[in-house]
Parts: sequence; C-alpha cells; structure tokens
Amino acid sequence: MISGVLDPSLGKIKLNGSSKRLGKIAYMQQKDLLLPWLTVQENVMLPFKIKKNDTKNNFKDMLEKSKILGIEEYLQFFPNELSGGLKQRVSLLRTILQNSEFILLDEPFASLDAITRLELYSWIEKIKEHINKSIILVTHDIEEAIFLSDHVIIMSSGKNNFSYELPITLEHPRNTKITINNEFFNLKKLLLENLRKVKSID
Amino acid sequence: MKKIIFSLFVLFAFLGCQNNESISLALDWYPNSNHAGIYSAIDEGFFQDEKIDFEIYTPSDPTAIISAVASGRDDFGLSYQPDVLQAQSAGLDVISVLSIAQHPLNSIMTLKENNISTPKDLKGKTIGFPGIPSNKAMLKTVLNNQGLDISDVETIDVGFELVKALISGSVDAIIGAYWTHESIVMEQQGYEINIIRLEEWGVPDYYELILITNVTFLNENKIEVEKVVESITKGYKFAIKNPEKSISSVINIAGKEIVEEDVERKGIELLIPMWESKSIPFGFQDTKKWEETYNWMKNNNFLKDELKIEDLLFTEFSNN
Amino acid sequence: MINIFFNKISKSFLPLLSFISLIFIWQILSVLQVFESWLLPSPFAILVELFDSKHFLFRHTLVTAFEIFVGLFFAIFLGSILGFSMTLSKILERSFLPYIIASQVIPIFALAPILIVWFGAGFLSKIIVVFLISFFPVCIGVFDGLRRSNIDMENMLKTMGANNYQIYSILKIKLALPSFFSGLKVASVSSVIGAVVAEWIGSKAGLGWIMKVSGPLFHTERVFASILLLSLFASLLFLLVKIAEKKFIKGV
Repeated sequence: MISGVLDPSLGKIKLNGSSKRLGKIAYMQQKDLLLPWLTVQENVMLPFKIKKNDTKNNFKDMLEKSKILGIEEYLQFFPNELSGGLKQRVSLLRTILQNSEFILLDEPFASLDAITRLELYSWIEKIKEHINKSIILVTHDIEEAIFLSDHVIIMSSGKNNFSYELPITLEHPRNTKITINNEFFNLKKLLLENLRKVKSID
Repeated sequence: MKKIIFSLFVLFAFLGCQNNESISLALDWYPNSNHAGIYSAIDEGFFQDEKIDFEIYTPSDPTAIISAVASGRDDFGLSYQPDVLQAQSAGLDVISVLSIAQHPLNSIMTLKENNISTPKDLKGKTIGFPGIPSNKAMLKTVLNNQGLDISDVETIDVGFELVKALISGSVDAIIGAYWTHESIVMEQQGYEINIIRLEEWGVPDYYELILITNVTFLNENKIEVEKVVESITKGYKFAIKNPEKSISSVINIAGKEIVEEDVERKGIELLIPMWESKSIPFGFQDTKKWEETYNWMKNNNFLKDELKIEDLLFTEFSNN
Repeated sequence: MINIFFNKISKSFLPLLSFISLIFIWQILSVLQVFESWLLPSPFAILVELFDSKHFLFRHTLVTAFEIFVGLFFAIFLGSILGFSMTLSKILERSFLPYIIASQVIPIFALAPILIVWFGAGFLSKIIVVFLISFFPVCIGVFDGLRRSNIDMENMLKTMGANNYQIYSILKIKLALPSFFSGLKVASVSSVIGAVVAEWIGSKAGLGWIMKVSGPLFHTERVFASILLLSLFASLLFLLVKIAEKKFIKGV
C-alpha cells in the first residue's frame, strides 16, 4: 500500500501532501524481479529508461554505486547466471538508483540463506553512506532490524493499534562483531519484551 | 514502415493486374499433340501478328476449366463437347466458338492380359476416370448398350493418373484415355492394351476437343474472339502441314520436362485426320452434330435444363 | 571420458549414419528392381533429376515460395494485430474468437476449391489458403502470450513509474514471445502444406502443380524431387523461426 500499488480501503495515505504515490517510492521486494532477458546493466538502468533520463551522469552514478556494491564485473551478465545474493544486490542497486523520496525494502533478504544474508547486511552498510535518503525496512527478523536500522518500530494490526519505537544508537559502520556484545543484547531484550505484548511468543 | 506499405501496394497492384493485359486459355490437359495447333500459333507468331498477348497454361485440376471460363477467370478454355453441354444446361454461360478434334478420341482401355474386349466384360470391374463428368455419362451409355447398368461397375476418380492406375492394377479399366495418346504412352512402357472405342457402342460422334469462351466476353470483345479463332485455325492448319515442326514448338514452349516427345510425335499423326478431313474443314461446327449429342445426353438424363441449340455454339468465325 | 566422447558422437553421428544406411538400402533395392522405377524411383534417380531439371524445378519452387511468404506475412501481420486487440477488449475477444476457431475447424482443403473458383488458379487463391491456415496459430499464440501476466513484475514496473505503454513494451511483449514463436513454428510448417495442397486443387505453376502434372508422364523422380525440395523449404522456414526466437528471447 505504501508503494501505491494498492490503495487503502478506508482512509488515505499521503506522500508530501499528495495521494499520488505510485512511481515515487523506490520499492524492493523479496523476489529480485529482475527481467531475465535484460543484462544486469540494462536491468539497473531501467528506472532511468522509464523516466526517460538515462543520461551520462546517471550512468556514471550507476557505475560508481555498482563498484561499491561489488557488482561492476557482472554488469554484462544475465540474471540467471547470478547467485541469489548477487541478484538481490542488483535489485538493491536498481532500487536505490530510482529517483525517490525514500526507499522501501520489503523483507528483501527473506529468501536468502543465513550466511548470504549476513553478507548482504555488510553491503547495505557500505552503500548507505552514499545514499541521502531514508530507508524503510520491513522485516520479521529482530536481529536484522537492530543491525541495520537507526529506529525500530513495532506495529501491530487490527484493534490493538499497538506501536513501540526504539532508537538504535549503535555506531556506524556496523559489523557482525557487534551482534554478540551487550548493547546489542539489551536492545534485543527490549524488542522481545514488546513483541510479546502483541504476539504469543514466550 | 512506409517502405513496407509501399511494397505491399505494389504487390497487390501486380497481383491484380496479372490477368488484365493478356488473353488466357486454359488447356484441358497437360500439353500434348492435341494442342499442337495452338503452340504453332504462338511459335509462328500468328497471335503476335494480330497483336494478341496470349497466355496458356495447364490447370492442376482438369475439372475446373469450364467454371473458370464461365466465371471470367479465363477468357478461353479447351474442353469436351459433352462436358460443355452439361455445364451449359446447368446454367454456365459458356459457348463454343471453334471445333478442333471432330470425333471422339476418348476410349476405354484395359490391359490385354485381362481379356476385356467388349463392354459386357466390364461387369463387376473397377474403372478409373479423370473426374470429368462426361466420362461417366459415356460409360453408362456403353454399358446400357450391352444390357448392363452403371451400378454393375465401380468408378474411381484418379485425376490425371489414368495410366498409372491401370498399370499398377489398382483399377481394371480406364476411361478418359485417348486412343491417340495414353495408348502410345503405355505401349512405350511395354504394355499391351485393349481399346474399346466409345462410338462403336452407342455414344454419338461428338466433338472431342472444342474451344469455348464466356458469352459476355464474346459479346463485348467480338473482334478479339475473331482474332483468336483465326490465329488458332491458322496454327492448326500449319500443324497439319508441318507436324514435326509443330511438335517441336510444343516442346520448346511448354518445356521438355512436361512433354513426352516420342509419344507426341506419334500422336500427331493419328490426330491429323481427326482435325480435318476431305469432307470436314478444320474448325467447322456442325449444328446437326450438336443436336445429335444434345439429344443423346437429354435422353439419358445427363442434362439438367432444356437448351436451344443456337445458344450453344457460335459459328460466325469457325464456319468460313 | 570415453562415455562423454561416445555421447557427443552419438548425438550427431548416429542419426546421420542411420539416414545414410537407409538411403543405401533403398538404392540397392532399386537397383535390384524390387519395385517398379515409376512407383518408387531410386535415390540416385531423384538426385539426377534434381540436377537435370534444376531450372524448371527452381522456377516452380520460387512460385510456391512466393505464395508461402506472402501468405505467412499477412497471417503474421494480421494475426498479431487481431491477437493483440483481443487482449484489450472483452467485446473484441468474444466477437472474434469463435470465428478464429471456426477458421481452423473448417477443413481448409474443402474450402480451397471454392476459393479457387472465386479467385482463380493464380497466386491470389494460394496466398489466401496459406493465410487461412497460418492465421490461427499466430493469432492464438499472440493472444495467449499477451495474457500471460507476471503481476509482480508489472507492479514493480509501476512503482518505477511506468505507464501502460511502457509496461507493454518492456514486459508484456517479451513475456508473449515464447507463445508467439510456438505459434509461428506451427504456422511455418502448415503454410507449406497449405500451399502445396492448394496447388494440387487448382494452380498453373508451383511444386504442387509439378507433382500433379508429372505423375502421368512417369516422371515419379520429379514428384519425389519436388517432395524433397518442399521438405527442405519447410525445414528452412522452421530454422529461420528458431533463429529469430534465439535472437529475440535472450538470456532465458
């Protein structure tokens, strides 16, 4: 609904005062949704092509970011030649290149194996410095939420209308070492406590 | 995109124009000695002298000629008098303008080893025919003459493949085979055959090959028709005097691939007396003969409607 | 190692070997006159005929080829347009679909004699027969192909700001291509059959015409040579479609 693909049955969602959201929010999903007949480069430049501004500058920007995400050498490959993790990085690149107010990541790593997921977290940390936009990450993985975000919000649906916000003050850039220190552990404890209030976990 | 549309336009113009400029004649069969006069008329330049662009071809379906002429698809056609009569009585607007083969060439042929020498021997046999309807009418007459009925035989449509059907044994006899052509073909392949002549068993002395045209075409293009009839007549007169050269014309124009030289050189000798004799000049259309053939067909219920003989033939150009 | 080697060899070598053996046996049987030469000519005689009458055969091959190419062109052009329009409107779909199906159910070869009476024994009637036979596979190929949707990808493009036209050109047409090419493969082979049989029924020239007229002259080698040329032509068409398919459907 946020991306504008669906509209709410009741009420309104507005972006900068306008209900027209479709095409203005960069949206990355669990499926990489790369077009299999286009090369990585063509896939990544697609948002520019659609908005009709695939200019030299944008191309340069794409090249730089592809270097940072470590996919520069794969630009002429086809998606079916890449591993799951690589495909998600390509999808990520495509998403962040899109000219948008903010970026919406919807459980983007859910279909990857645990180790590849950890790799992807590091790539996100790396590219985050080069993006000037807010990122909304939807996830069900507590550790992932803590590791990647600056704020975690727990929301529940339905009548409860429960929400809990927790700022994460860990320093950037973060690496996997921090997942076993005390600060991390305390944050996790807080989140779990609040989750119990809305979900039947014990 | 524009280029595509333009070339399509040109294509359609080409397709549409195909038949407009030249005068077309549908041959009754694949090119053979019976067409010698027409090929001579082309080769000796008789059509060119009259400034006529003449196009001849063999249709892959020999039964479609009369309807092609009737619908105006082809200006002229070669066909057989009994078939033309049947078509005319069914309402097709075709008319005969020239006679070519004055007597029947059609016959029933069998392999000698089957010992079939009279129509009576055909009882219970299978007979191949080219799909052309008059053959069935003639078969019926010949059988009735000997007290048999068409139901006493089985007929099979074999198209052009008369000889093969007979030789391979898939039929016991064939009708639609000319004693001036198919007989020679088979003899050359080393087969001995029996020939049953239709005129000897109750079929009247009909015209085996006539030139037909569309009634509307005749009325609107009298001069063209006269020129065509004259050119063809000249061609046959030339062929009668110069059979060798005439057959060479057939081979050169139709192509050696589809003309059997040995067969046709022999065939033309047998045909010349059929085209012209002391009593009958070439091309002459005898109204009495048309009456006779018409009556034969009417009495045997081969025709749909009654016809007036004057409507069936146009003798102005043929009977000079 | 030997296994892999043997595998590779057997893929191309064995079929070739069996083909050559078949021809060889056929030739021997012909030489021994096991069957009449005018019933089944020897492979050698067919080859000789191909060279002897090459100009004659080539001329008529061009005629048949012309009928096939023009008929196919219109079938692809109009079939694609109609297939596409039917996806745009349910009204169009319901109006046209029954006719399109009927065009396949009515045996074309029963219609052909009538078409030949209406349009003559020249090029036009054959082109129409080829068109009628090839139209359905292409039209349905396009229609089914375009209806193949990938909602996720469509939505993804929408979030990038793509309009309807862009969704078609970037996604939908590409998704439709496999189905389109399947239809095209069927159409290319049927078109050859359509042209030949239409020529049998009523024509002045072409490979089908040769087959009909050569028979009575005992030139059975020519009939077989024509069949050979027709098969080669149909294979060529099929190959062209496959090449086009590879070119347009990359990376899948």
